[in-house]
Amino acid sequence: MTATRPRRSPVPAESRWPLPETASGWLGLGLALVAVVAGCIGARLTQSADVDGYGIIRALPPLYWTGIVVGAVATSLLALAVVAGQRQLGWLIPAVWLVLFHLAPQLAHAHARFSIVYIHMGFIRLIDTQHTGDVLVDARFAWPGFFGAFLSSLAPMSQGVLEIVMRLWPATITGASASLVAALARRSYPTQPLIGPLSALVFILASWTGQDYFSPQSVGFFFYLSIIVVVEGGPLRARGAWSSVAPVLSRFATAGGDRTEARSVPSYVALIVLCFAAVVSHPLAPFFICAGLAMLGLYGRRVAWRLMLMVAVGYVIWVLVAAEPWWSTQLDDLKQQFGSLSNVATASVERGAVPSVAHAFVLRIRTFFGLAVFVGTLVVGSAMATKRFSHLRPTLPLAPLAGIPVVAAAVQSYGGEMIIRVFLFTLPMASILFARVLLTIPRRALPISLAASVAGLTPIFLLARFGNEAFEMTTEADWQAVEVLYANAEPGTLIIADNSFLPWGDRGRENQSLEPRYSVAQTSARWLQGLRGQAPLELNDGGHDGFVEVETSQEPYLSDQVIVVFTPSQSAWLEHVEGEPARKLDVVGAWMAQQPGVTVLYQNSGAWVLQVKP
Amino acid sequence: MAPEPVTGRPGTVTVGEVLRALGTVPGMMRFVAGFGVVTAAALAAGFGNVGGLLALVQLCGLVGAPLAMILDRHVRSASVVVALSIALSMALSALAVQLLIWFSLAYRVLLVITATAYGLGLASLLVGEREPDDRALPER
Repeated sequence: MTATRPRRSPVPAESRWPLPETASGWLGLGLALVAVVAGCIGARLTQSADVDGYGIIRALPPLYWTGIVVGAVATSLLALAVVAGQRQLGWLIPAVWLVLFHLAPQLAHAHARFSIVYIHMGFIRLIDTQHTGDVLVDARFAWPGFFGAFLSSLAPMSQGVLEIVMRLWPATITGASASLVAALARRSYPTQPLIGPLSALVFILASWTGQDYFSPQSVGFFFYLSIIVVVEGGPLRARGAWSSVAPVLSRFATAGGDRTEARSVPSYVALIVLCFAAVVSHPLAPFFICAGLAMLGLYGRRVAWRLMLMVAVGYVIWVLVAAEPWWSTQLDDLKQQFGSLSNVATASVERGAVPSVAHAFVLRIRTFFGLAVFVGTLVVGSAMATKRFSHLRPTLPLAPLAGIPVVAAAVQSYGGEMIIRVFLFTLPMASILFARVLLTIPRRALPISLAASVAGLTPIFLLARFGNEAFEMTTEADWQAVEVLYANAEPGTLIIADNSFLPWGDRGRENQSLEPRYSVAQTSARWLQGLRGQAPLELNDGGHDGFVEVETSQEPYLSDQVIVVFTPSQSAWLEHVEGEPARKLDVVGAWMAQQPGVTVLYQNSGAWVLQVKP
Repeated sequence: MAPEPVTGRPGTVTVGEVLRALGTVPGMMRFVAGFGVVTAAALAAGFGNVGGLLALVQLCGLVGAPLAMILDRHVRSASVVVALSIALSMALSALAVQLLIWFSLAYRVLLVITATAYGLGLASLLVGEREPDDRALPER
């Protein structure tokens, strides 16, 4: 057995170690460190109670904003050094903003943000307990690759260490994805040395969808990028391989379409491993992988067709076999969602049907941000297809690759989140195109343009990315409420909550004895009325049938005990998304606490845990 | 006669020598195997946080490292090799746990052993494969 690592040519001195060589470089490096430290400490000092309908932006203390200002100045100085020839410093710019935008805000609260993280941790613990995964417990167990991959690492950790890992995860996965975006950028514009760090920076600044939390989606997206990088990473060999749509497609890329690639066995194996891992890890990523591979196939990459066929067949078989227990019980619902573009749009809009004024503003920012990227990509891609701007054309078909994910929107609404996923998979290619446009700015103006851009984009990013913080963060009250709930629940207990924005650990799910019933409290007015007469507030039914389900179900847990859990995060969801009165659940909780047969197990900062024994 | 290069006292291994050994695929394979043994031992011994952190490094960064290093000449970028190492490690771990779940054997230690075996098995099969000759990208 011999090593195959090739000998590298002598590495240029400038790429060995990113030490500055000029005063502006050193000053930029120093200020970058100051910005990162100020941003992280500032974010850590955030008071969760100050988070409102605009999200985290108004709760961030002045120290964080100092970090942003210093970061903008550091960006300008570093860009100055880069333009002067110290290209290796260019990577510091996206690194600084990765920390300020994607790491620091994660430190703001007592616990890792986004309660779904804890549900995913619950799944890992469930596999750890049962040594297998039951798809009947939750549909996500049909794609257990992601959860299982962390079985050995996260399951044995204490809660404190786990919280640290969960906070580092978004920045880690975003940074790793950004490095792959930079690789694609270098491949797309081999003669532009600054395109890599600039594309990574644009990607980091525009990643507002928040899909980088500890979830199968973040890893599925990472697999998608890895597959594209490996497919496009190898050398090209001259050979006529244009598809029949060549005349149209050739306008979007300068090379590669008339060539097919030489490929090695290791790269084939790596691609197969990545594709199969995507199939067993996430239900949605294979759609986007197939779409991207199909586009590359049209550009003459024969390996892309083969891979697409493999992923498609593998996915169908996987769904038919592994997910059969799930879809066979959900067939009607799935049929309704399939193939309807209007359904996708409706589902996306309905999520914020009656938002508060603040949340409506956040939604508008998100919409405009997303539209700006979509429209910008369309305009830039179309412009590059013209003869006038043909000098900006990439070697890879970036614009078609950015556009093809839209096809997936026709397939599934994905609970109303498909548009966000489409944006996520569009963003890498769009970032490279935008970065190329930025490089058309005269070199002298580039440093100040970059600094002004990042500083101007900061409030927009924070509103779009962390605008849902009021109900997506996990407060100490949320955490304690769930802890008390599980400490007092016993097999057969019915748990009632208004919605899923709680750090459920899924304890007790292994035998479905503690299955939470989300949305039941929406109809709980009727339940409360049936129990004790008049509820203090008129609650809308909202079309949920949870109450009916509770009433008619013959399951044994109904006769034992009921635990009701209301928290500030749930109230924030009702207030900002559903348009219900503020602190409604707090009022209902206080009223319930007065009723006979109800025991208050926990009450703090708008959080209630109530035990009911009718 | 030129003096012998100083590499440390006889019988000792310098940091530089370790790093140079890790820079080759066989060296990395040996490191991954050793790290896997230590990780499995820590998990089996019940060291929760230490074992968990070691497993995090092993399953989310190391088991795919040898295969990613083999792809070095293919992708021609150290940072991409690191990113691919993470992606391939998570992919191999996902495939490993899927196999274990089918047989209701998804134990922590078994997952580390299986994923490490996947990574090392693939790397040992592919380490002798040659990359097709590089050709420069066509001029725009």
